[in-house]
Amino acid sequence: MFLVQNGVLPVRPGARSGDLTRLAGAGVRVLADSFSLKERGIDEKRLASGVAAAPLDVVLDALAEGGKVIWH
Amino acid sequence: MADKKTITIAIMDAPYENARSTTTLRLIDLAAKRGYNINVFAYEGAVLQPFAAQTPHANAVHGRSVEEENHFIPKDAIAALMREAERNGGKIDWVNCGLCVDERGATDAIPGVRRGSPADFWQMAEASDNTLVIATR
Repeated sequence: MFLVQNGVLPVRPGARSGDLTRLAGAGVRVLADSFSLKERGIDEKRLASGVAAAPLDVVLDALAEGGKVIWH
Repeated sequence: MADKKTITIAIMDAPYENARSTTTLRLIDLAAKRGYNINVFAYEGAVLQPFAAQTPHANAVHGRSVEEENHFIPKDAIAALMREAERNGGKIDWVNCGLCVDERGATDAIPGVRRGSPADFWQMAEASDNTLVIATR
């Protein structure tokens, strides 16, 4: 799961980040767009447990590799 | 280029209204830098993204001139992306939904944009390595 735009807001450790951490614990790779984080002043080093910052290239890589990418 | 890819992206958002437009242009930019062929099918308000009549404006409230304001103009960004794709051996084929254009009077698009229909989207998707639909909500 790749979070982008305002979708990165719940990656700040807090009341709304627990679901993301549980998702990561269940084996889902949870990534947050570095650009969106920077736009919103969210420190990449202080994300909820299980969430990592990543560039948008990850999405293009997935498309190039034939992955089923769904925008939600 | 052995790993040259063709990606199709469908967008529906009008310019200046949602961050999805920015993300779409960022994705196209990344693909252009890789030399990919990029098909874009612009539907609904997105046909105004490459609308040729867009003009930058000053900001009287903040006392800034047109140059100082340096307002972001989507049609210029799209033209720059088209040039970037070509520099890297790729191409952007931008198709505006014709009926959506007519509804909005957006017939005057920048060079490189052509008129089409959802059938073009289907054909582009069929001929692509992958397709991403960035839908409105």
